[in-house]
Amino acid sequence: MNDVRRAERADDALRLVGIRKRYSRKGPWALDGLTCRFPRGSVCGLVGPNGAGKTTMYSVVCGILPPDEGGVDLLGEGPFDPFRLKGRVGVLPQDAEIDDRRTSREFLHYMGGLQGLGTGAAAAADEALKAVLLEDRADDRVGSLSHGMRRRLSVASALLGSPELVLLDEPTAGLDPVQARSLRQVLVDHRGRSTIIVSSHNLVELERICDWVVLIEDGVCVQEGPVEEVTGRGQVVDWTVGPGEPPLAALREALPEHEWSWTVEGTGGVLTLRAPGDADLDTSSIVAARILADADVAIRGLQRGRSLEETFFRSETADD
Amino acid sequence: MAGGFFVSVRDALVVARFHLMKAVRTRSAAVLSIALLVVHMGGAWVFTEILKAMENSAATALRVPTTDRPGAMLDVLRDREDFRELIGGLLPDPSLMEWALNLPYLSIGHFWIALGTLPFLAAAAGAEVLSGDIKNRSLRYEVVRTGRLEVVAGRFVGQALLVFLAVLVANAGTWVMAMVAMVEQPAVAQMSTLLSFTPRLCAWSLPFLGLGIAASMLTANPNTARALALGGTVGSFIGWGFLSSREADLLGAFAVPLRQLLPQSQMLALWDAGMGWLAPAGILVVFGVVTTLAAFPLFLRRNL
Repeated sequence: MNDVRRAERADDALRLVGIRKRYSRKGPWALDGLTCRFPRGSVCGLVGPNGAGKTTMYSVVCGILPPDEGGVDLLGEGPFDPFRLKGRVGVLPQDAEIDDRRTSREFLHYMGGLQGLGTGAAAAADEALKAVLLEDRADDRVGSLSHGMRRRLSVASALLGSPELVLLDEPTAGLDPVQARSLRQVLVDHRGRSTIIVSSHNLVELERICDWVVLIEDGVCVQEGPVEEVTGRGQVVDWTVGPGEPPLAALREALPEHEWSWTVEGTGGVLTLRAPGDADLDTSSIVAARILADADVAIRGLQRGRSLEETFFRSETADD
Repeated sequence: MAGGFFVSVRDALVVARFHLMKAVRTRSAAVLSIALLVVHMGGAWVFTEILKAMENSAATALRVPTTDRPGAMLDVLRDREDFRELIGGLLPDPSLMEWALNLPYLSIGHFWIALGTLPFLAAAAGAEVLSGDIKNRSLRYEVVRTGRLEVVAGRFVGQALLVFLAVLVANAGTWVMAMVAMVEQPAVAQMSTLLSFTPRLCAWSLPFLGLGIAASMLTANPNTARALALGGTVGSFIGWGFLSSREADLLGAFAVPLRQLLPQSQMLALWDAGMGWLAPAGILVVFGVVTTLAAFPLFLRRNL
């Protein structure tokens, strides 16, 4: 807690300031001054390529690894402490196995006991099993569960007792689309009850469930903010139009405070509208659509903002 | 302990309970119990054969019939020189020998066998406590919920309870041998003597259990941990043998304090008719805690 003032931002569930971490004295920095925040009550996506530092960040946040420099503030309580934050933070560690010989219920009961749930551990275990649709396998040994079921059980352990902050490292890794979808639904159902931070390579999945996103690369945060803002969904519209060219002069005259750009593609092209921060993009879009229709320019497609995937790739390309 | 004393103790007990139940369900408990049982029943059988040979020797001298099951002539044996030499060899202190001569004899053999075998079994069992869970990273589920010290303490307690259960099983084996292979053995006295030795044996196992757990904190490979733990145990006996020999004179004044640093220094003191064994047992518990915590600073910084 060197340079992070506790509860400086009460609306943040997690803040990292200048975190640096490397695994050997002369090795490369896995985290190289990572500074980012995750607002309370949101479902946050942590995005980055392999080796960006996502798992290292999780390990530092939940006390498995000490940072070399910088500070972490969880729930306004300073760095992770399993006693001070007992029962308030749920973690799904990546690649951690569950003892094969215990039943799902026994495993969760044990986790609940360590979280200090006491006599409520059994009920919490049953509730968590129900949330991940494993209640009918509660008394089966973990060894008899499929990979997907074990992953769901791990997620259940992170959600056990409804902690205020849930950290999920690649929760859908290795799951088939059906299992991934059901797990995604679990997280959506949990929205509002906890702050959820989830890392995944599936950007479409993250875009669907997240309302805040942090992009990290080479151990630093390259972009963070609401998904709408990061993807430009609130400011940018791409119109695929043609054949022919759009009446740019008329558009600029009607919406002078907006930025317009035109990219020719085949017989038509892509018209990009970038609205100022305080503009109502819906109203602007209606005005623009009327002008295009009056000019007999066919609108073949419309996309608000970039997809998270596109944003991510643009960020990657810019860095290269 | 970081979380306040009561929270830490509660967490350690939760870990101990889970660890014990896990061990009971897996082969580790069965292997430990069966190994002790086989060693003790085998040792008891050897001891009854020695008693049988002595009794038959006495019977021949007295011109009475020999026997296949010893036990009927123990009162006669008690006054014979060869038998007193046998017991005296096990317990060099004359007063201890006189006390032991009034105990059920298989209990004496049981105690010595346990003193020789428990260190190795406890060290091997301790080596499995953490290394496997470091390897498959399952410890991460625990260390994000409680402190690492509580995890180690809980597993130490759980494994110590497992050793206690294994010693009880070994007691039963020795008792069965006494009832089956000997005659006129006092069933209740035999069992109560064995039970009175049980806490002493558990205390004796703790330094070696701690050695095993320390080894399991150092490496994620259970086989390496086991080799380290057994190597350390063998080393402690070799060191004890050296420090007890005349060659230890080479170390001058250091020989005696060095001996006191080994758990074997408390071995004979555990033989006590009254409650005098409590002090050496307490020292062994401290040894157990110290050896366990020897590797803890590394475990504390380890990426689990």
